[in-house]
Amino acid sequence: METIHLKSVDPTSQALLKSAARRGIELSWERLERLQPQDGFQRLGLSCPYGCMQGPCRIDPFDRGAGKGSCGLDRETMVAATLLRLTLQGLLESMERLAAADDFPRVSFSAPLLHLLEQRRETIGQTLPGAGDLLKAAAMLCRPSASSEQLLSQTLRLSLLAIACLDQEAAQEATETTAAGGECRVGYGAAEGRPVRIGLCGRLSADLLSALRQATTGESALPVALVSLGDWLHAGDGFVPIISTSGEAELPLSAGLIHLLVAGQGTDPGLLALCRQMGIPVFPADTDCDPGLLLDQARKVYGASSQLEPLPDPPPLATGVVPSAEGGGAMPPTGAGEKIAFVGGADTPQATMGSLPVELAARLRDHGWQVASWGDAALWMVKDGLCLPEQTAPVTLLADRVGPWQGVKQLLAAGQGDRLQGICFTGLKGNSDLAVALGLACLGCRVNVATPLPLGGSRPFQERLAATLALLGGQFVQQTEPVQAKKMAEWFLGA
Amino acid sequence: MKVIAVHPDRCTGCRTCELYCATERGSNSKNLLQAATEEPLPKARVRVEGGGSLSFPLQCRHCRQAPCIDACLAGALVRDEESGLVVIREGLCIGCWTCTLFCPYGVIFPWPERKIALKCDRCLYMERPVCVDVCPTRALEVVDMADYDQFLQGKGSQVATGLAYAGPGLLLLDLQHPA
Repeated sequence: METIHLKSVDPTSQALLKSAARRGIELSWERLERLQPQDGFQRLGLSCPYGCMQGPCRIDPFDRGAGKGSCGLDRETMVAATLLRLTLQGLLESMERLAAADDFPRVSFSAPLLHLLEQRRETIGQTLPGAGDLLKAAAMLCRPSASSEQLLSQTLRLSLLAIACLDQEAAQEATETTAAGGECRVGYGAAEGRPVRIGLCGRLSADLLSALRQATTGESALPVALVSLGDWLHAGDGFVPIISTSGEAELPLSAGLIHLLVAGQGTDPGLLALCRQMGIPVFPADTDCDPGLLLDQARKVYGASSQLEPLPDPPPLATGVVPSAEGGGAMPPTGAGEKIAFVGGADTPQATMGSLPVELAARLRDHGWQVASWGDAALWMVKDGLCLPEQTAPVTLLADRVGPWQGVKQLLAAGQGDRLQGICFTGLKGNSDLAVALGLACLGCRVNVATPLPLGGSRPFQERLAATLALLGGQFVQQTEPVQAKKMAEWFLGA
Repeated sequence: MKVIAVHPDRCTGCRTCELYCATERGSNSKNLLQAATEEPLPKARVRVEGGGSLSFPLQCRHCRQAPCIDACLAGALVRDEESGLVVIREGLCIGCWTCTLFCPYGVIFPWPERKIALKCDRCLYMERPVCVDVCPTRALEVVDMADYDQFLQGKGSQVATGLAYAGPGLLLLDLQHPA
C-alpha cells in the first residue's frame, strides 16, 4: 500500500490501486512481483532459442557451468540467434496485419524507403530484403549452423522488412477514410455523461466498431459509451475515448467502471480473468452478435452493480489531436534547426507507469526541443496536458505503431532528417516493436529501448551489433534496468 | 548461529542462486545484464551440484570444527564472533588455496584472477542471503541452529509419514496411535 505511488504517476490510478488492494484484487503489478526472480538465463539471451528439443541448453554467463550447448553452440551465437528469433516473430506480426484473408502478404518498398536501402546496400547486402529472407531466417533457426555474423546480418534484413510492412500498412490506411487523424479524449472521465460503459480491448474489426458506434449513438434513458482500454481505435472522425493506458487496463475493470468487455485479438488473459472475478460479461470480438443485445447486457450489469471507487469530481479528462499524416501536418512546422525527439511506445510494469514519458518530454522541452509521441507514452503526455495547444511547444501526437516511421519519413521528405536527435521506445508491446526499433536504427536513427532485451549474455555480439549499425549511420541502445528520465534525457542531449 | 538449510526435494537445479550470487556478491555493477560482461567474470559462492532428478545447492556449512580455519596459513579465515560464521578476510588471503584442499565439502573455491579464495559468508551484512531470496522454489531457507533440533524433528516426521503411507508392505508405523 505504501508503494502505490511507485506503480503509477496518475493520482486517480493510485486511488484505484488502493481500492483494489483493499478488496484483495490481484492486478498485473502483483503478478509481476510473484514472478520474481526472473529467469536470468533467459534475460541474458543464454537460453537456447533453437527448437531442436535436444536440450534444453543454456550457457552459464559466469563460466561456472556449461560453456556451450549440447550441439556446441557458443554464447555469442546463442544471443545472436535469440535476437533473430525475436525479430522474425516481430516481422511475422507486422505481416499478419497486412495479410488479406487467406493470402500471404506481398511486401514492397516505397520510393523513399528504397532510396534509403540503396544507400546501405554495401552493409545489408546487394539484394533487397524480401520474402525469401523469411524462409532463410527460418532455415537458420532450424539447426545452429550459421555464425553470429550471419545471424546478425539476417536480423537486420528482417528488421528492414518490418519497416517496409509498416510503410505499407500506413499507405493502406491512407487510402481508407478512417486514416485521417482526429481528436482523442483520454482519462477516467472519457465517458463522462454516459453511465454505462462498454470497454474495448485488442484488435477489433472496422465493421464491429462501426456497428457498436451506431448502436450507442442517439438518445436513450441509459446512454452507453464505448471506451478503449489503451488501444487507439479510430472511429468516424476521431478515436474511441481512451479510459486508461494499456498498462493500466485492469484498473477501470477492477473499479467497476466497465460493464461489458469486447475482447479482440491481443486481449491479455489477466483482463479476462478479472472480468470473471468482477462479474463483467466478455464478448469475443470474433463472434457474431447483435450490438443491441450487447448494449442491453451492459445496461443490465450496470443496473445490478455499483461503482466501487468514486472518481474525483469532475473525473480527469484531457484531449489530444493526432494530425493527419498524409496532410503533412504531423511534424510541427517549426524552424529547420529545431531539434526533435521521438518518445513513444508501450507501458512497462517494470517502471512507474507514466513517469518516463512525462518527465522525459518535460526535460527535453526545457531544452527547447520538440517532442513527438505515440502509443501509451502519448496517452500519458495527453493526460499530463503536454499536448495542449496553449503550451509553448506542445507535444505532437503520431499515429499508433506506424507513427515513428511516418515521422522519420516526413522529416526526410522535408530535408530535415538531421533535426531528429533520437527515438526512445518507453516499452515494447510485442516483438513487432522490437523489429521496428531495430529497423529504424538500420535506417540511420539513434534508437534507445528503455527496457532490458535479452542481449546481455555476450559483449562481443553487442559490440558487433553496435559496429554494424554504426556503418549504417544508426545506433541501438538497450537499458539493463528501468531507466530514469534524467539518464534518458542525457542520452538525447549527448547526441 | 543462522545458516542456510537446503530442501533437496525442492531444488530443480535451475542455478538461479548461482547467477544472482555471482551478480550480487561478485560483480561491480550488481546488475545481471552488466555482470555477465564484466572482467574478471564474477564468481558465485554457491554451487549447484548433481543434476537430473537430484541437484543440490552447496555452500559453506560453517562447520563447528572448521578444518579450513586450521589450514589457513595467513590467518585470513576466522570465525566471526558475533554470528559464529566462518568468514574470509580477503585482504589477508594470499591465494595459497590450502583451505580449498581441506574443505570436506569442496565449497571454498580458488579465484585465480583476484588471487584469493572464495567462500559463502551467508551474506552476513545483508538482510537475507541473496540465494535464499531468489530461489524460485524456496529450496533454500535460513534456519537458526538453535532451532535445528526442531527442524530435524520436522524432517524426521515427514520421512516417517512418507514411509508409513508408502504402501501396505511398508506400513511399519502407526502414527495415529503411537505406542
